[in-house]
Amino acid sequence: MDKKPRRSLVTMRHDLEDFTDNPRAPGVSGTAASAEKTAAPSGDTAAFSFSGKRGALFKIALMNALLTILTLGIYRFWAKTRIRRFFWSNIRIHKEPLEYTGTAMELLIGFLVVLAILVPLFAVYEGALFLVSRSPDGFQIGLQVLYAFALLGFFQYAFYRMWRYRFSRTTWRGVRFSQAGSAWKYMGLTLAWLLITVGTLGLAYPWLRHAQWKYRIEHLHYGQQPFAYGGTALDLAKRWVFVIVPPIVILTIIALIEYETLMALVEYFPPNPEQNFDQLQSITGQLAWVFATIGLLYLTIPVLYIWYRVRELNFVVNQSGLAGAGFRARIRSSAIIGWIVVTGATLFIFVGIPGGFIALAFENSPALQDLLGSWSIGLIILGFLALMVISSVVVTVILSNGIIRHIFSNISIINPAALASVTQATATKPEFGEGLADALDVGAF
Amino acid sequence: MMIPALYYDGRTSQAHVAQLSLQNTGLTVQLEDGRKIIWGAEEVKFVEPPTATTPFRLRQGFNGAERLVIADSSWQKILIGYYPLITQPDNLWSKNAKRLFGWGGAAVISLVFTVLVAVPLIARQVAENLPLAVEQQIGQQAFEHIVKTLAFIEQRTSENNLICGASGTKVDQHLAKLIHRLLPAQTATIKPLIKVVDLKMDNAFALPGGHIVLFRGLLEKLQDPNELAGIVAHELGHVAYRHSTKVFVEQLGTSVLIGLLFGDVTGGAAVAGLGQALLNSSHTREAEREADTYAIEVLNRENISALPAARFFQRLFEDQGRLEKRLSLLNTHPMSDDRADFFQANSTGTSPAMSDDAWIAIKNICARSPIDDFTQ
Repeated sequence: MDKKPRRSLVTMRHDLEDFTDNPRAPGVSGTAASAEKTAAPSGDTAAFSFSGKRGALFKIALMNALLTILTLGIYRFWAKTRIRRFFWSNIRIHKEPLEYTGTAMELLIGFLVVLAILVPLFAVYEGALFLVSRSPDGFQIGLQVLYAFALLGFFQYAFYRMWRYRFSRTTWRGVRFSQAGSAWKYMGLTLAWLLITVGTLGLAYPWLRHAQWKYRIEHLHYGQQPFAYGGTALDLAKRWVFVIVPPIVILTIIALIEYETLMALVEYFPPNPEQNFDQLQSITGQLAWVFATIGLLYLTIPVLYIWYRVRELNFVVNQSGLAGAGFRARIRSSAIIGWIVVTGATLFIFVGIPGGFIALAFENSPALQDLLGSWSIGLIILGFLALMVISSVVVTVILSNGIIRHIFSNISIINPAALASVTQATATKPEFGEGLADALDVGAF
Repeated sequence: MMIPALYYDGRTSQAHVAQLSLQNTGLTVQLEDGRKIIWGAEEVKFVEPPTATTPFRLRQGFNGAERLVIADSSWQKILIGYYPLITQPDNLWSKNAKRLFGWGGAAVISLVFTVLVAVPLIARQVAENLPLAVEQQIGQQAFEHIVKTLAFIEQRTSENNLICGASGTKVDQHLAKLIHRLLPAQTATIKPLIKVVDLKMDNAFALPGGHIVLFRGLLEKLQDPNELAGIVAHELGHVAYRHSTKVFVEQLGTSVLIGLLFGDVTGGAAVAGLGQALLNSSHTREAEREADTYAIEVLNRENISALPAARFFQRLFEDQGRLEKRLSLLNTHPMSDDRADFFQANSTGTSPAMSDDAWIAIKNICARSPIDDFTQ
């Protein structure tokens, strides 16, 4: 033990204070050394931060992608666990990292449970539903809608169960999170508001989001302490207006200006041989600007939507509280959109272009096929697998990492001292992993 | 030696400033309020595998909620020296063996049941009730995929020029007439269609929605119009019994299941592989027998002699070596003298299937004159 670090007690204590803002929680008597720093007054803020290194993540993501392919997908449970450990352990709240305590084994068993119980049920359900839907024609559409709703509800249920599992495997300062509440209730309220949202052509969407956030946050606990949520649907609606109103206004103006031409177009369809093609051409020619505008709208709506979702997230975080502590978020949609664009461009360069090149080379070059002979199919498969690995790594290292880093570098806690003595939860936690969510492919990592 | 650390007791989120002292028997956590906590030597574990990042953390066993946070990563080496078991990961396989075997076994039973019993049963019901429009759409897509794949194998690049005989031409009417004669007695729903594809393989098969696909290679092998009638009648049997649709729906169900296993339920891979799956699938013996029975019935009804077809099947049988390469949808297991015998024994028809003119036109359907090329 010769090489043990020799440092004075005072510098050691400064080290400690470096990663624990407030080592002297109420009730702990301070020493002379720690008294140099005064305890943080209430109303103080402390930042979230993200300390992940891209190089380390790259290694994990690459190994994950390779092993997942080699094991025909079975490794994905270990892959997910490794990725989560990376992200969780690099998210520092008030300098103390989160810890992910879930294991791949839990995810694997959760998956087996789904296979054992749900697969035959699902097969029978699909078949039965199909046969029922065949009988009278009138019922068909209703049953189709019902089916779509049931599937959507299933997704919501799986989503809630997934977060319940994830939170139960997340600890901070040795105290774990938990998502109480009922996944069935969450599903019910989502479906109810979804129905209203569809009925109002999207106007009620903020109410849907509000209901979801409120239920999720108010049933989220840190230890025994529940989170509180103070936002209203109207607050979200104010932000949603900017997404939903411009397209409606623009489409209405278009409809008013080109009413007659549009009606002519509607009358043209379904086309019959007697109508002349020139007529259609003249109609579409006149409507060229309309199609251009709609195309432009089509491109801007995703951007507007992301912009809304980021504003929503900021608002929701700001309206959330925990045991007297509050949160402040300044997430920028430009950063999120930026990472999406960068990821898209990278994928285009490293996956799209080589993929297109491989396809073209084989399509147009019998000489190449002759040369490679029976190897050509093998080479195509190998190339396809390589592109899968590349895209998986790019999405994890650039997109997930970029967005998580940005989000957790832009949230801070107001009055962090309030979180210094929250007691551990006693409620039981879910035993297995998120089998259903895995089966339905809910959630990115 | 004393290691400065933070201690979380797992009961509250409160941080306790602590000093750690290491003994070979265990680790002592000395808190500032005078309390002492002792972890056994075999209980001391790294939370994360040791790295250069700071701070690093320790846990007590694999289930304990207590945590120690140590700022200086150079202590890791010393800890490993004291507690060799500190880096050993939890043995989750043996801990979960019972659950893994239990649920794993249940999952296997459930999958086997689904694939062998539920999916075929459901597929049959679904196939029989599938709307014709959907069936035709599936057939069209499968047709395009199969032609594309086979063209690739034969190194024919342009798919558009592979279909012989434009619709509305005389030869097309000959084929339509043949089909019309061989249709079942009472059917309002199916409208089968023969497509001749300009590829050299000697094969024919039926697709969902009533597409009957004939390859040029097969046409070249035929010596008599009644051979063609026998083949078309057999394929029409598959169409009438919706055999291909059943195979397709079954493949669809199985693909989705496989997708589930491999973590792809968006169905992308499953749907992409469907055409291929159809290409590699085959009818059951029972389905082949049904198709043969159907063929004999309609040939007899139309007084078309099935003896040439019997001879053709005999020729195919003697040519077994090449059968391996034949498409599975036609690559029938009972492609033996059974079938030839069956046709021979049950044929009562006496007349040819069509006029010589019609037969010559069909035989030459893929031959293009320069004028054809020009008008296309």
